Amino acid sequence: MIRLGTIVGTVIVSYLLAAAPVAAESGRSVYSLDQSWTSDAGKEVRLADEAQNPTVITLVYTRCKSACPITMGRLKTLHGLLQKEGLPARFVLVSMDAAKETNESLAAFRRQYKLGDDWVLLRGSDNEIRTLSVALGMSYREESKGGEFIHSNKIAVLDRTGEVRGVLDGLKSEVSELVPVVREAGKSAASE
Amino acid sequence: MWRPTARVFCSLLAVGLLCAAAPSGEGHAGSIRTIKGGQFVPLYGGPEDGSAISVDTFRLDEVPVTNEQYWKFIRDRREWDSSRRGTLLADVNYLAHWNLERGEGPAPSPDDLLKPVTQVSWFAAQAFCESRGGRLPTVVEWEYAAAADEKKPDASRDPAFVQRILEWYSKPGTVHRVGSLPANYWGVRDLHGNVWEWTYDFNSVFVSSDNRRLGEAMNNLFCGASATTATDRANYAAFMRYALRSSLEGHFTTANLGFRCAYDN
Repeated sequence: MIRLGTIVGTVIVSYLLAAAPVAAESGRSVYSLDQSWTSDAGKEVRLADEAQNPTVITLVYTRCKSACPITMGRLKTLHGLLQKEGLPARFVLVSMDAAKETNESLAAFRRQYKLGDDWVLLRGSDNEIRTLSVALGMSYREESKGGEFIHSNKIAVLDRTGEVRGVLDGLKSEVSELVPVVREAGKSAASE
Repeated sequence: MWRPTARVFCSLLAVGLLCAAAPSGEGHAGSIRTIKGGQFVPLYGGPEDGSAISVDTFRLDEVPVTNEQYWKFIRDRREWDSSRRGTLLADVNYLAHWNLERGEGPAPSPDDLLKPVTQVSWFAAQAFCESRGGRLPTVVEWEYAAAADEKKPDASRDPAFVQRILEWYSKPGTVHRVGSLPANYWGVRDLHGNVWEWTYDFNSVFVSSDNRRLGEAMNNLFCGASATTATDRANYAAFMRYALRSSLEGHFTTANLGFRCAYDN
């Protein structure tokens, strides 16, 4: 009986450990990059700040003309789907334009697309953006200095610990595919 | 969604096959060379109209970073030891070739000390370079420096030079001591003929906003017989490097992929 109890106890402990991902233990957290960003309100923020819910994250730049309106439309569609399902999530847009993005241009973008408090708009240094893009498996390149960017169109979902739980690629994919990913990401965070 | 693609597999297979074979000789370590900036038309991945890219003057390590140098780095920066394996920042094969145990963890064998460190991720390479006040060279900087042969700064369209590079790409071989090969016009060695090298912006998109086109082209090159359709052999050599880069992810480590550092002038 004692042995059985020990085994059951071990199983329960293992289950709890497995079900409670901790950023520091998994080593797969994007939050472990320890980066510092600036928000459109001019505040210094970290990706891990206020990350109690799953995060939908992508790279943008606000002066873009071609893909961004499509990407923003897709993100807003996803935002609506998640709200309908009652799945809380925050949306993080990181600018890939280290040289030209400003707090003001980010703030104007927020107004233009009527983004609420659950949208986080960030800018950072070239090195930070490059490192985050590598960690998220996203790619971008400035076509010429001060020109348009050529970039992948990926949307990633992070759980509360900052681990990537899914990536959607391309402008023609269905954003609804990310709804179950956000649901799962929220579950693992809630069971901690 | 999040799946390794056939092109990643194909390209990794190619990396495994494309190794170095070259004579051994004296090792050089630690020198930094100045690469004078200029106008450069890359063979691949430049502006679509074929116009020149302007490259600023920068400095570049003469040879790739060695196992010995990387080992010393880890002694000061324990967070980069083998405990990094299997994380966001380095895959499970990080430093897998370090087969000695020296109390503090895996260590390189004496024979490997002066060979380029391989089995390192982009994050590891970038951390090493930052610890020296540097960074990884950009793709454009690397290609600019690597376009030089022994005599001239841009030999990228010289058939003999291109032939040597393609021979290296096609020959299976081993990683050898750094600095064994002749210095190029800039005094830089081993850009071709030893190991492949990480670049800062390896994950840039270099073809068009629709990167599936590049994926298809790579599949054809690596896994099909259509390489014969590449009429321009020089273009093909450069294309191989771009294809390799786009198949990588930041945590990947392989036996033939090392790095060197660059520094702003």
